Amino acid sequence: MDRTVIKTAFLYPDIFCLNGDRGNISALVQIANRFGVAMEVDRINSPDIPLNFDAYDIFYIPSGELKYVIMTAEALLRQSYTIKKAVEAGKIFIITGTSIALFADNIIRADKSEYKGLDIGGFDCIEHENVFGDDLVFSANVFGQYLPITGCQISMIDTILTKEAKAFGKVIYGYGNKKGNDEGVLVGNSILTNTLGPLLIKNPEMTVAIIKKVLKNKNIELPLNNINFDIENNSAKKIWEFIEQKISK
Amino acid sequence: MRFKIELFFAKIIVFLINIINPKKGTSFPGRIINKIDNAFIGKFKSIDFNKVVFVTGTNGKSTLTNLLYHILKKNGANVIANLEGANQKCGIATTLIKNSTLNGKVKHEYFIFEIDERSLYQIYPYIKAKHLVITNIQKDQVQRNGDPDYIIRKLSQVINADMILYLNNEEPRSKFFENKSENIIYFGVDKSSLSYQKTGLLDITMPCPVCGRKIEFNYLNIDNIGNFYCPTCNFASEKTPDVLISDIDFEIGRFYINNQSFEMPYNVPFMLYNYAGAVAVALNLGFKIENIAATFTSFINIGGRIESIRYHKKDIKYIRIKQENPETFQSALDSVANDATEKIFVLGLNEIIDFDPHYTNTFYAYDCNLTKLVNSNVKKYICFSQYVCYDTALRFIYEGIDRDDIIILPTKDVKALLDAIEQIDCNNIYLITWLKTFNQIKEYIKEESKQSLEK
Repeated sequence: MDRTVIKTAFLYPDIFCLNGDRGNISALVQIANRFGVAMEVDRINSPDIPLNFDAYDIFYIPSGELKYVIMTAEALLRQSYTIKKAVEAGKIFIITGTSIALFADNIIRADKSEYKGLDIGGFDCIEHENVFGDDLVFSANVFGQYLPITGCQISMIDTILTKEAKAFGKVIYGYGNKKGNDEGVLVGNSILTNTLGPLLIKNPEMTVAIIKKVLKNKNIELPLNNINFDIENNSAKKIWEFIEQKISK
Repeated sequence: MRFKIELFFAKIIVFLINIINPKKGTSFPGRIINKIDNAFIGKFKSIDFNKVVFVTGTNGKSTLTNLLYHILKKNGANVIANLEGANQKCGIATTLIKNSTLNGKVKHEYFIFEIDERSLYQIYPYIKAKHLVITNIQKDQVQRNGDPDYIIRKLSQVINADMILYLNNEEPRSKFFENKSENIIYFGVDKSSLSYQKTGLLDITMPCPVCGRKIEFNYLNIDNIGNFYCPTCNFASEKTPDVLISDIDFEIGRFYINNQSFEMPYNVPFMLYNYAGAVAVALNLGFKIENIAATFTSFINIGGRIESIRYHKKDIKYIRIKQENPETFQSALDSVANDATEKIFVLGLNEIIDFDPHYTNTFYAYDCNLTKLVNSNVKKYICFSQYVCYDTALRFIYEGIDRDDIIILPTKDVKALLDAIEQIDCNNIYLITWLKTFNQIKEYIKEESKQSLEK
């Protein structure tokens, strides 16, 4: 019997991929494999090439520098309509770190210069002068499953949601979109989060939820056994312990 | 008059701090005096800006500064440098306080200053160095530096057409500054037996700083540094840089620049760019290439070597890394991987305690390639630290290492670590952790040996 195959487009790894985000691809591949599902990954490095939405189930965009996010957004504007339609149709984009600005309506730099994003998520991104790095813990509904998400954030932008936009999660500890309760943006099935680095390794249940959603989208029913994530869980517990100790000080 | 009083006061602080806490003597006096007078460093006399060299960039600036100082000193030049690594404004102030007369006169001819890349804009208005070396601009200390472009923007505030810029011909972000001045000296390193290419699914290079598209490397000498070109906008390494290290022989430790043979003080690829940069500056300052080459045999890099300690039968080799810096971490991992004999690899990444808020970043480990290490005969991996040991272990697990080959120690107790090492039947140990942790390990071993001798 042929193995079930999920296809992931790893978008612009050599342009972005700033903070160990490639770990997320390892997580998708290895956790899918543990379910007996093959995860095929293609690197797509040029924003000048039209994206083939029929060919992929997941589009992953790693965290990048705002300068290159703006340059990439400028190139992608030519296909913003098709990207928007794909997101509306339920395609799964996972975008981490500052790269979430790609989907913004407007990107405003610290020097007040303004650039157009793809205008998909109903939010603006405003660069701040200083860097803010910290742990980030939030709760999020990932395709019907409420999960605590643990990671790190190197905040270079504030994300300002419009009334219609929906946050991905609620901040428990950390900066989030703008030192408030909201973390990230959820647009259809697309997850945009300020968390960067190996988010999907540190939060394997999120990865499982994404894989299950893809299988559901493909109308594939597989008996997915529970996987032991004891090291991942211990990692999160230790980090929460560290955060509690920080708060108590 | 005010300056003379400030300087007198500063010299008293230097004197006192050297008695009370010499470790703080490289920057503390300068920090105090800068608070009193922000323009203090600009008031010293007899500094010829044409003979001031600033060395900045992410990696290699300490080594390059040390080597350049060594070259000039050995050639009889009267030179000062901030060799102890205090590279912010307070460190520069302290160096000048220590090396000046009571009148504020500095009698040295050459000034070689390592400058923190975020501090250049605070220093340059007072000391307008003619020569600026930019080693490379890479990912580093993200909580401070954000991303490389953040540093490029900081440096761009200062770099101007009056400067002679020494740019790394094979590091795109360093070379990106070439339009800022007409006086550019490029330094580079030719392809060697250890050059490589990145072709794997998860290999990451970098964007072109000019057009933002993917840059191509003809070869890499170290991570993201090698002969490059951008297929989209044609930004590329110069074909013939002013100083090019070529005919590199790591076996015998030799290379050539303009047909002049040089001995390698350290025969590892990441040192080559420091050699090239230092030679480029020394040549432009008028030193002869044969005299420069002659100094290489006696160069010892401060704090740049593998340090070995003995614990019972175990030989523990410690390699220092800069925290949150994937390039130095990668170089350390490659050094471990170069030893093909059976080994235990001990990794003690810690939470980042730089300034508030402290946090648990270990993601820079995912920017490093572990393939060579994994294939270098590692018998066991030990991950230790109070809060991020499981996180560290995950890096290995998602690299394909068997869970059973990893020992996880959620502790900062060095005795527990040494006990774990002791129980494994292998005496060849490599340790990568923060310097502070290593010093605690050394202290424990020293104390234990002392106690066993007393018995």
